[in-house]
Amino acid sequence: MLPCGFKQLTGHDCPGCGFQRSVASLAEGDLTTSFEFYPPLVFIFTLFFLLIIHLIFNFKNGASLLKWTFIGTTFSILLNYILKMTNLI
Amino acid sequence: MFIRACGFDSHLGYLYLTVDTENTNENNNIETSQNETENVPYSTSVLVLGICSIVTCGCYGLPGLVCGIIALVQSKKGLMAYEENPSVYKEGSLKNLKAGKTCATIGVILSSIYFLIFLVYFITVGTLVFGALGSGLYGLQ
Repeated sequence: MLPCGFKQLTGHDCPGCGFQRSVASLAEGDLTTSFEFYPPLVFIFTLFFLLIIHLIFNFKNGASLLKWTFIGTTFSILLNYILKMTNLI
Repeated sequence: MFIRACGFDSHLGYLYLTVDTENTNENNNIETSQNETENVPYSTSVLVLGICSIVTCGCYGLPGLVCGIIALVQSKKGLMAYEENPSVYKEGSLKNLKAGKTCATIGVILSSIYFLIFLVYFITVGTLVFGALGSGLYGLQ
């Protein structure tokens, strides 16, 4: 795994910390551990899945759907980071 | 329905009336809709790069910043090309371009905030560490 430069220098997690562990445990088939490591992964996978489907089939409202999914993903990443930093979860 | 010409043909000896029916207008409409087959330039790459710009983690927000800025520059070029010739391009690809631009804007803002926080932290810690080192050396002398 690639080390996180932000964490090495500052000692705190960055907004993306847990992503690689989450993907690794998803690859092993452990869905619960994967979700515990990095909850926004669900949104990120949904976003990229929608992007690929939209680029192939060109849905009528695909662009606005992608935009709102993107905004949702961003909020989930920020919320996850804030909750992690304030030790609420 | 438009009357194009009317009058009396003295050579052949009868009245004539030339009429443009609505068929010509319909033909024009079909032609313009057939022209709208091109994608707006960079629309797909702007959408992909704009969405990739949220992947800010790992390298101090730099990948997101680079992706987002490339997407914004390309979307500007694409919009300029669209404004020059709006009837040629598909409406769907314009929507893609605008959605990609929004995503890229959000990505650039968040990445730059992340990068600035990192930079401020780095400068503060660096100043403290080197300041302490400097005063230590001064003390030894």
